[in-house]
Amino acid sequence: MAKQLRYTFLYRSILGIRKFYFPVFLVTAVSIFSAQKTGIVLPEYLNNHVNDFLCLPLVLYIGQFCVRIIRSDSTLQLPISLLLCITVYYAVYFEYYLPNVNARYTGDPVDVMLYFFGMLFFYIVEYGSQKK
Amino acid sequence: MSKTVYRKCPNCSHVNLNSDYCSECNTLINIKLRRKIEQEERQQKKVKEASEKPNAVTQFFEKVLVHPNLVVRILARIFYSVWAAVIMIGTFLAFVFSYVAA
Repeated sequence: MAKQLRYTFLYRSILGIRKFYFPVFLVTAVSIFSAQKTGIVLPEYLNNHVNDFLCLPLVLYIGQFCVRIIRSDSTLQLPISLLLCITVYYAVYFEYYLPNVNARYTGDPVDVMLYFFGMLFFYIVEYGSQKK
Repeated sequence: MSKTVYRKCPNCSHVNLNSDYCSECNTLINIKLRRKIEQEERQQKKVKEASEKPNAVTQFFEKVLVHPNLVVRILARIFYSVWAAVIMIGTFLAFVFSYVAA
């Protein structure tokens, strides 16, 4: 009984998060970026890492949204291999290629980890509550 | 004075008194109720079909996928593919982020 209650609570929590995470993440990312551009001093983790975690869920959500419109299928799911491909692409582009090309960027293994956590968050929230 | 209705089940031929379902085999024997249920099912099916109708973008792609020109067909296949669409959107957003951040 307790296990069922915990399962139901978790299921409902995921459904609730799924409704609101995109606007919340978008507003948070834009706020942090605006604060950085206007010179407001933020804590180190907020300044350097939070946007890296928020990046992949936002990108994957936009990609999923566009593909669902193109295919007229509101239940379409992106394959996990595609999610991993995009995550690796972003990790290589932002943490390897750009630091070699532009001095403004620095490669950080913590950011790579955060990209994967962001992708995992998207996968669990969007597809984790699907009943098989 | 209450109405007394005898209905014969088409399935097992059992005669039922004032009942919508056969007491023997549970078949729906009330014709009016059966018609009402069928009508509701037809309406639900119509609503479902209307909601599943492809939008203008999908209809456009479905037309272009069978275009007589080979180049147009190939381009349509590329843009209609889930992988290609998501990778193109991801690449575009990566360029936007890197341009804005820099």
